[in-house]
Amino acid sequence: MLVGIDLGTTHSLIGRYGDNGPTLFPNALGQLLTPSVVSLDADGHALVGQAARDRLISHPGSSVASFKRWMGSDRETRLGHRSFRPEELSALVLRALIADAEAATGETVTEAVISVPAYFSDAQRKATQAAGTLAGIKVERLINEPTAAALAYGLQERRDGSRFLVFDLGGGTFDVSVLEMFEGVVEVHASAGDNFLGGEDFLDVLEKTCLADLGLQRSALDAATSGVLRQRLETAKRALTGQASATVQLAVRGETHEWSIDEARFAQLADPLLQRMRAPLERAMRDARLQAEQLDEIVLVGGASRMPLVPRLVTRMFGRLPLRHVNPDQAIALGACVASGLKSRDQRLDEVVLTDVCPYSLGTQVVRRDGQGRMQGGFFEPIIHRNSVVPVSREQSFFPVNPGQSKLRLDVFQGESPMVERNIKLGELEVEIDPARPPQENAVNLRFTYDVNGVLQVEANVSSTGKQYELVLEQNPGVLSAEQIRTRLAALAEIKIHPRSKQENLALLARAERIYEEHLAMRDQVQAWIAQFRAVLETQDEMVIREHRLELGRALDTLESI
Amino acid sequence: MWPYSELGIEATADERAIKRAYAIKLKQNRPDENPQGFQRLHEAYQAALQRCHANAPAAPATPAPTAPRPLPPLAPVAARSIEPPVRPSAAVAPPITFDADAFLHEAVACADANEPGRLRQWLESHEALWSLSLKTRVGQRWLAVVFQAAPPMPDGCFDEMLAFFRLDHAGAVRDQLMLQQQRKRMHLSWHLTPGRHGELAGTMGLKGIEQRRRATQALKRLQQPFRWRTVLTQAVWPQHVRSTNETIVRLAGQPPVALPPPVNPRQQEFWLKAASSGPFTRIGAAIIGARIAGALLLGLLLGVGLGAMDMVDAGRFDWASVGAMVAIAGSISTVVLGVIAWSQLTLWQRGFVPLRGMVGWLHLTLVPVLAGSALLVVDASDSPMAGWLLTVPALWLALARVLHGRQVATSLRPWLRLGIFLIYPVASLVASAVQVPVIMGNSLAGAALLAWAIDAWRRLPRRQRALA
Repeated sequence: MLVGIDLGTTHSLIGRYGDNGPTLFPNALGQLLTPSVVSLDADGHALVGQAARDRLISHPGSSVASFKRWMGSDRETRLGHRSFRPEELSALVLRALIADAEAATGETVTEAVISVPAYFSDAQRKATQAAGTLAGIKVERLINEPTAAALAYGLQERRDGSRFLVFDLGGGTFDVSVLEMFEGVVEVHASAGDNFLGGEDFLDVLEKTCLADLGLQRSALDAATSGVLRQRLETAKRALTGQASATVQLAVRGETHEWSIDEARFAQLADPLLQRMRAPLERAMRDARLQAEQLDEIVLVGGASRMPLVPRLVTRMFGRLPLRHVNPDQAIALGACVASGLKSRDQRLDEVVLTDVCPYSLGTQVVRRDGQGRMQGGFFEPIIHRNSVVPVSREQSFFPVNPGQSKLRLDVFQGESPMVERNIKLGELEVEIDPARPPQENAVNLRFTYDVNGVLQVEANVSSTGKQYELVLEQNPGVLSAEQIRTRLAALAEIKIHPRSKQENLALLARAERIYEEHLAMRDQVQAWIAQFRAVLETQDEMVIREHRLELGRALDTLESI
Repeated sequence: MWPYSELGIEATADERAIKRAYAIKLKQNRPDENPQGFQRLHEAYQAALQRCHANAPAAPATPAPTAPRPLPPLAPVAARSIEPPVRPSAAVAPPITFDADAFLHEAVACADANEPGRLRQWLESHEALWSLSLKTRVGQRWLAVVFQAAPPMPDGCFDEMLAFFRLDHAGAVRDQLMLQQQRKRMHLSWHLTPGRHGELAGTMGLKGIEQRRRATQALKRLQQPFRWRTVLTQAVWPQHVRSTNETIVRLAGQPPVALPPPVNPRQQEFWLKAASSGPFTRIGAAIIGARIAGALLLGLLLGVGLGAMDMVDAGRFDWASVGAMVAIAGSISTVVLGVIAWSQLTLWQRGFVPLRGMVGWLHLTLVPVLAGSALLVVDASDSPMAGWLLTVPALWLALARVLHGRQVATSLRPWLRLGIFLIYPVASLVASAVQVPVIMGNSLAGAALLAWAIDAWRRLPRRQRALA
């Protein structure tokens, strides 16, 4: 079975293109959104989702969240006795999602289409693919998140011949895409983004200000308290969408602090982040060569776009109110499902063709000659300009600088700066040329080919000798090789995820433990409940367990509502 | 006709028809199944759309880019107080009355403090520039200002301006090299404003008080209005020429770009030429003329002074004293003139002159002519003295040519000069001891020829390039 997955910074979803169009599958707790949090329990079993999220507070040392932000880097996280790479953590989330999909359909999941931020780099995309491999599935295609949202939105609304902008502010990433739909063609004109800007950054700002106002040091708080603070601030942030102010209470070493924030203050604190959001919007609009008036709609997706700041920002920049008909949490996952339907050539999607763009410029380093004949080096010459429609193959000729030169070094760079020193070097190619020829007749044709899966191929052809050179792009530091993936796959297989049947009970236990940490007043009571529930679990009598579970759930609900 | 043939439509097709044809063809050439076919199709589609838009009357939605108006002079910026930004209500389109030029004036004034962070805050505080369309227009205007007026602005702030208008990527400006040069130019012109010369000396990498003092003097000289009398008076002293030229090269690179105001371009041109051109150019001749005049004046003053002292001692007017006075003045002037002429000749020989016309050939053949005639004189005449008089200059000039531009030579140069002067007495002593003066003279002339040949060989590629 081919599924569509939205592997988000804070939440993940899974679904497929079924008989009734795109369908999402619920997890063991009956929710469509599974928090992207991983936790290891004392037996070395992994917990994923809400239970793990609750354990962030009760067991901060063995739980981790927001690891999507480290994809494509070498950063490792220690959980219990073992350290994990971000790919492995993502693989655990994928395994939990796959189990949910298999439980819902009774079929085995073998392939998937996974959504990634449009502005993800090559290393980050490769890491996502590696995560799929580590979870035991084949990643058939990576689809850009705003494109996925547009697919879901556009096909649902059946708007023909319209141009729109998708504004995707997720938990950890910000993406903008400008698209056009006509006659079943979904054409992406431009994408831009910021890989380190999302709802979590707004939370960071709140946290910093709150701690400063209360006169507390972040290092002075234990992990559980800061986990509690973060979750309460998250609640406050959400509350600010509906009301003018919100209050946060926090107990530190027996002392209760109270902090309140209103809308105006939040807007002021968030201003630097809003300023950062301007750049991708402006760039996407310019690359699409569109005026603000030429857009038919602006679609907001991603959970963080619910903040009232975001529609206000869009209004300031585009001079009109954005439109929102989609569920911002599900749009991307639904789009990933549509993309999986496209990939499997579903009959009902036969009339739909999707074309996407390459988000970065790719090019080489050149020397330029100024008006007085002086050479100036270090300039970046793009060969594939950013936001070219992929697949794309382009060729450009380059000439040696000096007569009698016998070699030419062609560097491959990715980036947007006009000077190569601020771009990322992907590799280099050295070609031999005929030193006897004058420079202007000694061309080397450099061809860059970029395919739908984002793989770059570089070829050089020396015109005087007809010799061909090809560049195998060097291993990026943050990317696992096929060999490393195999060994890690074996190691990761040892870590079991609790079976779905147990997960409801585990989630409840985790919740009770979190409440134990948070509430100082009723601690003994909660502890007694936990002990009692554990004893009931020992009996393995499903009927009794179910009864107790419902009872405990109600009791905890009452406790939390006080 | 391409691109319409690729899409299978008529050249008269409208946008809708082009899109429909593209959509139909696309379903047979999906990007993931037929990459080459897709790329061909997409290029044809783009080209067809472009032609369609070019033929159609300008759509009212896309305002034509306004032609750049002639720019007001941006240099004298009055230190205006920054007014609080006008806050338009969120739903209304941005006011059309935004004065881009006044805004850019203020930005330049704000950048004068060289605090990029503050400049960014100031830029971001402009509520009107949140509007996408207005910001694009102001950004284009800023580029026009950069390329036409180049107001003084430190490079950190320049980068901040480019980043704010999203002009800091490879595709934003066609001529990146030109942009980089304007950036440097604007930075220099900011640095050159009076009051920042001290910092400038630091950025030029000058150490030592003396060097800084000279550079500051040179900068002052460069900013003066150009008057022949003043510059010639200053150019009489060779160290002025050297230090001014050095300052220009440090600031503007090699070969130097035109320095921005407040440097006077005529001053820059004059001092560069003064340092590099030989006696056969207008400026070179003028400077030598000034120096000769100076030498004559010096001789005359000394002669008059000495003569007057003599007459005061004697207590009466004496024609013999007048004669002595004239003789002294003449001899002093002659010595000074000789030194000037000789140093000019050496300088000219060291430099590069293209092999064209009389001057070029003379420049190339002067050393062998001198050395050859020295050999002839030594062989033919009985007096080796005359031969020596030709050999020593030949050797001097040949060595000057060979050692020009070599790092080793700088420390050795005074010793070499002394050595060449001493070669005559030392060699004649040796020659009288072994009693073969002719061989010594021959070998020294031969050495001069050899040095010249090495140098000529080294200069060959340059000569060819100069001719090409």
